[in-house]
Amino acid sequence: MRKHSEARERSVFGQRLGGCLRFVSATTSCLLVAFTMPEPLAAQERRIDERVAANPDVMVRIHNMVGSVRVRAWDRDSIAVSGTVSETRLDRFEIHSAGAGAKLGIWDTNSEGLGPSRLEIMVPLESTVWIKTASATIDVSGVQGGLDVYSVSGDINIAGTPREVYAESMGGKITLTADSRSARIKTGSGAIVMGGALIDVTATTVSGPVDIDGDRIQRGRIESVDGRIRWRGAFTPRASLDFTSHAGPIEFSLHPDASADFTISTFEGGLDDQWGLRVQQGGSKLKGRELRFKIGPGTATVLVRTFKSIVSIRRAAVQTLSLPPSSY
Amino acid sequence: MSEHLSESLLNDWADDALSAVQQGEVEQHIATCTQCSAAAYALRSLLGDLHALPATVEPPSSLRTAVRERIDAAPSQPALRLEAAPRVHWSDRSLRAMRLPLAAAAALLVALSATMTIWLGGNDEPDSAALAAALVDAEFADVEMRYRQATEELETLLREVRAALPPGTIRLLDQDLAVLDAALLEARDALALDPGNPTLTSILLASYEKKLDVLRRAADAQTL
Repeated sequence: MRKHSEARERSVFGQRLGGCLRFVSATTSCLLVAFTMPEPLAAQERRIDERVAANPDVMVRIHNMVGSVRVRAWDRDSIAVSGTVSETRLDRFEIHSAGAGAKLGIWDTNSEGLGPSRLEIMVPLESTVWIKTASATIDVSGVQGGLDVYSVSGDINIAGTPREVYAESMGGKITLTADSRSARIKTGSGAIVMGGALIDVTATTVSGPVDIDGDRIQRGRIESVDGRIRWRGAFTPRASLDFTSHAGPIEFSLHPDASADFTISTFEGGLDDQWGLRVQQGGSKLKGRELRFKIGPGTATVLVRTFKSIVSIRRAAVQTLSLPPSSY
Repeated sequence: MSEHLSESLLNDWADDALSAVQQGEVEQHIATCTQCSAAAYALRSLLGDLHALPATVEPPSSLRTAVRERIDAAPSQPALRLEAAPRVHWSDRSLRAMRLPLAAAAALLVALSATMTIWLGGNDEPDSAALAAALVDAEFADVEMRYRQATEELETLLREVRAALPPGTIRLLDQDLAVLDAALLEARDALALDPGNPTLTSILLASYEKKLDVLRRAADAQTL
């Protein structure tokens, strides 16, 4: 009996000892793992408020994946950035300036878990600004240098008097309310809304709707594959405008004093005349039709090429598109 | 600094996107390392060539009129589309792997447009409608072939990196390409029935340009 009792005690002791050793071993392992594991990639939010010196005509490169980028211009030789940034161990907010060039934002290396960063940026008036985002929205106003802006799916809003504008988005809406000598706007499925005193404009889309307040555009090339194009207003005297669409309808909602010489070349499309036009059929031997007509004295030149779009000409109520006010 | 400079650093240097201190360090290394020096100056030379290319190649307005007159005079010949070549964006980390093929595609199209502009621009007054029409016809076939080659090259590149694209971008890309491919097919079928139709020619080439743009934008998005 005693032998059995001793054996049982030894067994219980052994079990307890084993349990203790397993506990110590597991705890040690956990601690080792905790201390040796790399910092997790989870994003953390941080407020920023930074300023760097820059030349008056600095070229600024801004990068932000998610969130928003808001750029305003000021009459100072510096760049200021404020807002909140979402950072991971790999992707941190950076700002560098070398006088003539500056770059700031988050240059993403691993977007997993990256939250939105909201950047409010002040740049010198004459800056040239380059912005690239994934889904972050972009809003630029007051910059007088060139703008080169790209977003995959974020909306882009540009106002002011930029020297030239180049804006692209696959799915985002681009709104341009600016006076500029040159604007190149391109979208895939995103909408384009445009107005202002523009000397030379190109707006192209695959399927997004295009709305243009066209009173002050001198030269324009507007293209779509199957998105609707709507031109509203009048025409600048001697304006030269070229519209191309595969299948999207093209609507001209014109002021009563609009003046233009129209040529419409269409393969299978047609004209929806709500103006009361005197249309001349072109004498081409080709299939399809060429329709010519004048509105008013015909001081502007409008050429429309379509595969199967319907071109509508109608009188517009005297009002403009609901564009945001220009900032200057 | 490591034995050789990283590609990323070299690209930043070529883009003038480094701080003064970093630039100094890179240039110090380049001065002593033949391999990095060759890579760095090759990159800068490539970017220099690209920047030297015109962003747009627009014919003079008188040329447009002249071309239009030629088209009207010879309705069985296709119209030329003299438009801006696709623009290439370079970001510090964008399209690193694709720079050379995309640069080649862009340069090809710019060169093509420039050649056509110079060729036609030097002769604003048409010598004869027949000569112009013959040249236009030959050029159209050439232009279309080059557009097709350029889009096919970009499509191949994109297939390789498609898995790295965000799902939202893939959805946008597929949506745009479906619209464009349907439009291209329709215009090509119509053009086969009516060869030389200037409206169809113009619309077809406009759709090619948009397809190139869409593919390039998607390639850009891949490395955002």
